Amino acid sequence: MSAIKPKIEELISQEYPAGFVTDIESDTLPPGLNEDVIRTISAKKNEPHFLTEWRLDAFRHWQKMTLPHWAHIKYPAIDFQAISYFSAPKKQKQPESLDDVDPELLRTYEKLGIPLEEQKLLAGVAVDAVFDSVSVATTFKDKLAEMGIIFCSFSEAVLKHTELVQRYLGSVVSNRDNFYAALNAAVFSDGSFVYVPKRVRCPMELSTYFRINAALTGQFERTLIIAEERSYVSYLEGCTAPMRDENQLHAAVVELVALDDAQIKYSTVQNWYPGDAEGRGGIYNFVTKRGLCKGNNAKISWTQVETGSAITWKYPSCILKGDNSVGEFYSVALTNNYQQADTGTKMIHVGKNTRSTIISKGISAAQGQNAYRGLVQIHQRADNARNYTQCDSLLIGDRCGAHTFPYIEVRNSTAKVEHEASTSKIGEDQLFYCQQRGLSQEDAVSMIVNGFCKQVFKELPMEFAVEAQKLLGVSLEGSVG
Amino acid sequence: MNAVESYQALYWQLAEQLPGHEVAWVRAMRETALQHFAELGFPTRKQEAWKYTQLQALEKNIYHPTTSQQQFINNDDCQQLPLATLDAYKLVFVDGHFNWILSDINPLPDGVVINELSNILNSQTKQQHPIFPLTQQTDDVLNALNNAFITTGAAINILADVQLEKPIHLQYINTIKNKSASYSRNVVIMEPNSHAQLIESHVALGEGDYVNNVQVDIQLETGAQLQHYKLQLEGQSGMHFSETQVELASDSHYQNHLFAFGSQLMRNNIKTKLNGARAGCLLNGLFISQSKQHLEMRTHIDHHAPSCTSRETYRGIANDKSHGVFDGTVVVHPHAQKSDARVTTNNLLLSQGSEIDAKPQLEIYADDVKCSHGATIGQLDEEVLYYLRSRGIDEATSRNLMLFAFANHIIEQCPMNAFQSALHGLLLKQLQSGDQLQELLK
Repeated sequence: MSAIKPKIEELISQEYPAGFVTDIESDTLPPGLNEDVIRTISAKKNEPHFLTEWRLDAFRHWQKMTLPHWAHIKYPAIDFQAISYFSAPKKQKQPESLDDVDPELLRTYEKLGIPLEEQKLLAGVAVDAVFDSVSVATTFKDKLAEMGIIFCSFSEAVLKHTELVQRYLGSVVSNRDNFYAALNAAVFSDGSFVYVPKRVRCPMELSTYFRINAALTGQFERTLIIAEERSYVSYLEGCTAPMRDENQLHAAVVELVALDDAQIKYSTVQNWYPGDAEGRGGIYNFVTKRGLCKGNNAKISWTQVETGSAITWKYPSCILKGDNSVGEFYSVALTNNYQQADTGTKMIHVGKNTRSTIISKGISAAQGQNAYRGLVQIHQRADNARNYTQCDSLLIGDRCGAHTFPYIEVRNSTAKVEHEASTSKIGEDQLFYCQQRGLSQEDAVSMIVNGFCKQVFKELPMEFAVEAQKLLGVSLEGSVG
Repeated sequence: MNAVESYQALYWQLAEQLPGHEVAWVRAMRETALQHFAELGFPTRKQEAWKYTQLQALEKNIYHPTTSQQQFINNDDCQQLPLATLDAYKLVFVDGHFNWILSDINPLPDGVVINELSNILNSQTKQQHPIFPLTQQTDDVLNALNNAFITTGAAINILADVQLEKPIHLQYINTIKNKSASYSRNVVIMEPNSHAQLIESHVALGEGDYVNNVQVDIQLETGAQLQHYKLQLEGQSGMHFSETQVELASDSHYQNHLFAFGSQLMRNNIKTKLNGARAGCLLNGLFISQSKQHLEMRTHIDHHAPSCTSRETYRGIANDKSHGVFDGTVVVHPHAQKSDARVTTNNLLLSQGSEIDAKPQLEIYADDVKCSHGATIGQLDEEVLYYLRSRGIDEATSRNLMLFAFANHIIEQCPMNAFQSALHGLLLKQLQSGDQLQELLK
């Protein structure tokens, strides 16, 4: 084992490869938050009256709220008045095709390995690229529009599909839900909106890349996905952010609504800047993600690979309201250097015969702190509810931490709930076994770490599975194998 | 006047009657605790440690500490109680007061020193008695109340290398009828390489509404071993609050076997600190709850030193509208390498309206560790039931048999045979028409 240690340390000390800043003129509001700022954001985006009021209601409530402190994370106090709440790349001309898009922007994506053109050719992936806060390019819209699928930026949806937005916005995560969700509701700049009509199976993976760019700009995304009866949609979210010393706050909200027999698959690869080896800088990723299985036989599946951010604090949850609905949560969370993660899920079983599965894999290295926090709640009327939870932690180095805080609350005597958790380092006997089969030590470590995460990776869409493994490699074990 | 102020007023009203009221350090200790109690106040659901359990009953009614034994009981009454016939050095406490007549500790073998706590509190020493630094102030409101109002308890000291053959039995009998509370505190110090067994039993005579607040402080020195058995069979309207704090030096071993069947509200808290290398602990527990009982079991294990082992298994059966809570935390501190910890909780929900909450937690700050926990909440296996019925056993008996087997998993891990068989009897009484099962098990 001792021979591997320096190797691992060398690997985990790798610089963040996606760290660069794109130089584009931004239309940025001065830092600070008050009702005027919110009115300005709302006005700039030509929002209808109800939304302005909704934002203001959230803001007024937010002012009365106190910062939550229960998570197993430490960070200096955030000065919410020092954040600029709106930053949009200056509007030049409305881009008609990719050729009209600012080449500087396209180059940024290329550096990240997400060339839009190539993706257009590759097909199967429609990218609604969010550059800072305003969507600048949306592809494959026509093809989707033919099937009646709406996939656009949130601001566009607010203007063009006001009724849908008004009906579903805040129906899963209310504008007063929690401290950061309320803040998001007050100031959210943009995000994605997906609507899949009845009996439509979305033919491609929908994808958005979020990048935080302008300095000192908190990004407040809001995503709303609605799957009508018998529809299916798979949504990919991938993130990378440029290197920067200032801590940046990211408080996004994602709402999913699945009606009768609908299925939503939501996958995330999160690789925001985690801060340097001394723990300076990095993104604060405080996100509220929640899905509502509103109809019977609905299914919502969350898959996440969290390798970035200085602090990750999020619990993608499922409210299983419809009978026979299914919730799934697959997660790999990696913390390195001084990264902290407090993540997990909530499965709220309300309907009958509801089922949920939770698979969580945490990897801690160096001084990383990784916590799984989850809630499985079976309500009194949720007959025959079933849950299986497994959370495993892998520790690399003696200064890191791995924690498990599951809450299991069962109020129905027909429920079956199982939970298991284990924590260990890479076993010497495992290594020994691999090595006596002729594998090199590095291969063995790589194999074990990959195997450890495999259960989650196999849930990712093909495109993401490759990226996820690459990310994990960059962040930790890649060149061991 | 709110509840906190009422308890404070109660203290000043009763201060003259509490043991040790003339001793300066005892007064100081009580008043510090009272101050601490006022600072803490009664918990709300928003406090993490009180998420599932409420103390409204203590706020609604002010429970006066008992000033004397309330009802006379003779030796025959005493012999009828569970575990009474177990061969042991017996200390009997009735309504929070030590009863010399019912107790039986003579002759004590060499190397065992037992003192009654009110004697220690009343002894006019200028200095604090050496056992008191052990009774730590914790951030638990019930512990603070106990410190302020202690009336009795046992101070047990087992000298080095003593191997005590017979167990020491602390028998608590409650005959309280009105709304009163008894506060006791036991201190056990096990010197190096001593071995002992401790039984703690709590039973009620009558149906009174009372509070039994018991704190136990245990110190195991190098190589010491203690088996601690606890039976909680309080009355249907009684409340049982207990905190057991254990400190383990290297190579020592502590076992705690908890059996909780009684009381309308129980909060049992065990805090174990593995301070020395290679120390170990085994915490097992079984609860069966009926009607509207609310039973909460909390355990906290701190691995402070390398190569320590902890094992924990809690099983629960919730019936009717009852509520069971298991909250078990294991913390592996930095440098506690080679820690080995395992926590398991299995629970059965038998009826609609019952609830079980489980919260097994791990906090790990060292890498070379093996830690795991598992939790299940479910029902009796229908297939097993079918198998038993196909063998000609009726459904009620089959279910009872399965419940017996489920519970017996905890009972059979008790190393003391006499205690095991006594528990088998008690278990059958807890099951509906369990006496029929007796025939089958013969």
